[in-house]
Amino acid sequence: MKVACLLITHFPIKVELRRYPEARTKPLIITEEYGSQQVVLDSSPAARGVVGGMPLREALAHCKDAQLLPADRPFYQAAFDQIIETLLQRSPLVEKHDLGCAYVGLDGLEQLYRGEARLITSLLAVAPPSFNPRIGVASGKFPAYVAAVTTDGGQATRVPQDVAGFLKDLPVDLLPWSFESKARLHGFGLHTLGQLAQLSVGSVQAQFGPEGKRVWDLAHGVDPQPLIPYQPEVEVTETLTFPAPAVTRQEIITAAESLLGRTFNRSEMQGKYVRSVTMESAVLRRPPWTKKLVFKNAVGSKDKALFVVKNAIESASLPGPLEDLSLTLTGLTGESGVQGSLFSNIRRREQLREMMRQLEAQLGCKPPIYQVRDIEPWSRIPERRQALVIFDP
Amino acid sequence: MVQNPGTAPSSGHIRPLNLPQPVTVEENPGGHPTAVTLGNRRQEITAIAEIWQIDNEWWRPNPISRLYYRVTTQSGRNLTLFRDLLQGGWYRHNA
Repeated sequence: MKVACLLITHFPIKVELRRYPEARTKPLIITEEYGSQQVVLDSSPAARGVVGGMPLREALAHCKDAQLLPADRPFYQAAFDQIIETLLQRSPLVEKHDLGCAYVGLDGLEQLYRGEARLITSLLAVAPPSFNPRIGVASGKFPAYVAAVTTDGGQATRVPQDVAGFLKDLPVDLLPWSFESKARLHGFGLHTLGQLAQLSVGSVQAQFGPEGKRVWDLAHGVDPQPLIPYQPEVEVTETLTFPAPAVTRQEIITAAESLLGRTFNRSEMQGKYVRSVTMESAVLRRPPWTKKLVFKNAVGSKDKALFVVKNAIESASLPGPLEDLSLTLTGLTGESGVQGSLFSNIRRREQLREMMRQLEAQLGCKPPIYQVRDIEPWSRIPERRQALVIFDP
Repeated sequence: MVQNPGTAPSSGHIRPLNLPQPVTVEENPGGHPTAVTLGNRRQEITAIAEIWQIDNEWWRPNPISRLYYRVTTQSGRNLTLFRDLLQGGWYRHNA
């Protein structure tokens, strides 16, 4: 098996610098919440001494004049998904490993691209030049990753036949292992992969158990783990923007109801049920708010989904005024596992839907029929009390 | 009554109702409204029933600071007017 590891270091920082080019002038630190404290997700090279996972207080002690930016993980994921989609046009076998790291199966592709060099050049071109991607090629995922890590940006390294020889001088910190286990290795005086490989497998296994055998194999350049193909999931997403940042739950519930109506009316949702729904929202001067809900049983109607979504919004702790709301249905399936009830408002709703279809056919566009909904009926600002929402039976 | 615009409705927005409409208002030296022009008709204000001030959303880029008047015109019509204390100008609400 021939594998390429495509690595984009400091991916969140590079994505943010594309979004905010003016942030290049000063060291940049991206922070995220971990439990009750703020930690560093990523930092620009100018923020010296700052590493991922470091508590923010410690990071600021290293770099006082750094600009702080809250992490926008959905944005980073979307940016990386685009790169993965482009990779899938180069190879049918792509594993999305982590943000900024993907593995590509190369078997059989060289002939298609008339040589390995052209193939690698094509893979390097999947990301914008400012992302400075690097590639490592080897017979397994771990040596390919190590080759990518030790390569300069925009370059590729092919691991020689003697994989263990290539790895022997590199630090054990590159192993995909817990911080504590690597600290134990250092405690035993094992600082390089070569030192680890020189030990007998039995002694490593005696200390570290089955994981010890695995890292011993990795230190020899043997990584039997197969590529796990990336399978893009079908998603149905609808978004709306609030006229003013929403602070009341009623407003958010009304928006969610409208979005659920639109998603369940989409053609790809006909006869389908969903297993989960994700709500995402940009928050005024705060990191984005995300809430994922998994349904106990797959649901096939707006009303059943709304019941769960409404409860979740009512009990959620909102970080601040929401600027917009995006609703994504995932886990689409053709079965619900539960027989639908015969006695409900099906006929009435069906009649309303039919009426809307006929109006749409007559007008040649979606009928401009709205319903008045209370948004903040108690508001002192009259235009905040009610709103028109598209009628969606 | 919502007019049919002949185009597909914007699917990405909730449309707020009762947005403020700019109106021409004459004021006395104290800054209180004395007459209002509705359409092309000037109407004297015969009574001010209530005055109140709203200061809100001060944390947003466009905060709200309004001085509201509940007034009665010479034709007996009740109106809700306000003066925008930040941008200037007079507005009315339909309801």
